[in-house]
Amino acid sequence: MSTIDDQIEIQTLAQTYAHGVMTRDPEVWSSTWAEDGVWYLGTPEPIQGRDTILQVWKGAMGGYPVVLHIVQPGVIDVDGDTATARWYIHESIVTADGEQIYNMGVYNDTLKKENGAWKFASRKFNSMYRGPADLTGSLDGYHAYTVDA
Amino acid sequence: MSTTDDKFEIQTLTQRYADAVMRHDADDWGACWAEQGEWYMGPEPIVGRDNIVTTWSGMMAGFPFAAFLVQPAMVEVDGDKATSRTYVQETLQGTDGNAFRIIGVYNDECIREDGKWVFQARRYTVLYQGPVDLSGEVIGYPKD
Repeated sequence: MSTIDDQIEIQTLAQTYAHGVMTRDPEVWSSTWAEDGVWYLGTPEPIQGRDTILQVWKGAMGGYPVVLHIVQPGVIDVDGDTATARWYIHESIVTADGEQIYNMGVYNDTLKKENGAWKFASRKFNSMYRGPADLTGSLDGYHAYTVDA
Repeated sequence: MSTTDDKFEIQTLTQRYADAVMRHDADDWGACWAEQGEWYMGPEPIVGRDNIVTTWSGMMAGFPFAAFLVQPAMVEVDGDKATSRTYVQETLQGTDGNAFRIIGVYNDECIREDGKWVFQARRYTVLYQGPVDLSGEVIGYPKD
């Protein structure tokens, strides 16, 4: 398999993840994670393991009646059965209180092949903007941005 | 290398360009350009990678927040040359805190330089520029 085939599969993985958010489908969404995946969301401790990650995600989604998750094609570097990737996401969110939020940020990820399929081994999210959809909010999120995984 | 591989590498080039804008990374952004690249944001191009990067760095200093969303490109390959068209959506916030959006299209010429695909010429046409809520004037696609 060429590197290009791997890159296409990894691009598809990020689209599957987005589809899982759009359809609020826990099986589709969690299928993109490695069994021992690690999710860095800015909490003091990362969230570890697919089952735990799924529970956290279900809780978070419960607070948002609407989450539209747009991911643009990423930048991917493949090295054998592992890879790194970076993706920018744009989320339009409506909270349980009816507040409309635009959340824009970057995922710095590591990937690995598990049972022959590419999965997210770790995803680290940094918000670049979170606030009113007209971008009148603070830029603090942007300055918190870091490439370091 | 097959045409499919070339198309894929040019797709990757447009994503690396967007990624460098997001990160305000002049080195990675400049690496997307040919040594003698031409950047058309109006009738007269900025010529040469060094000049292009200098212009870009000056512009980016005015935009602490620049979210550059690019759609997959339409690519035609002809040997070591290619043409590509890409639609972009830029959401920008200036140092004064005011945000605005640009929706535009890049019509590009790519060449293979030192074994990798780079932009020889990028022609940027603005289709919309104004408030994020699209209450501004929609310019629309150019007739010519």
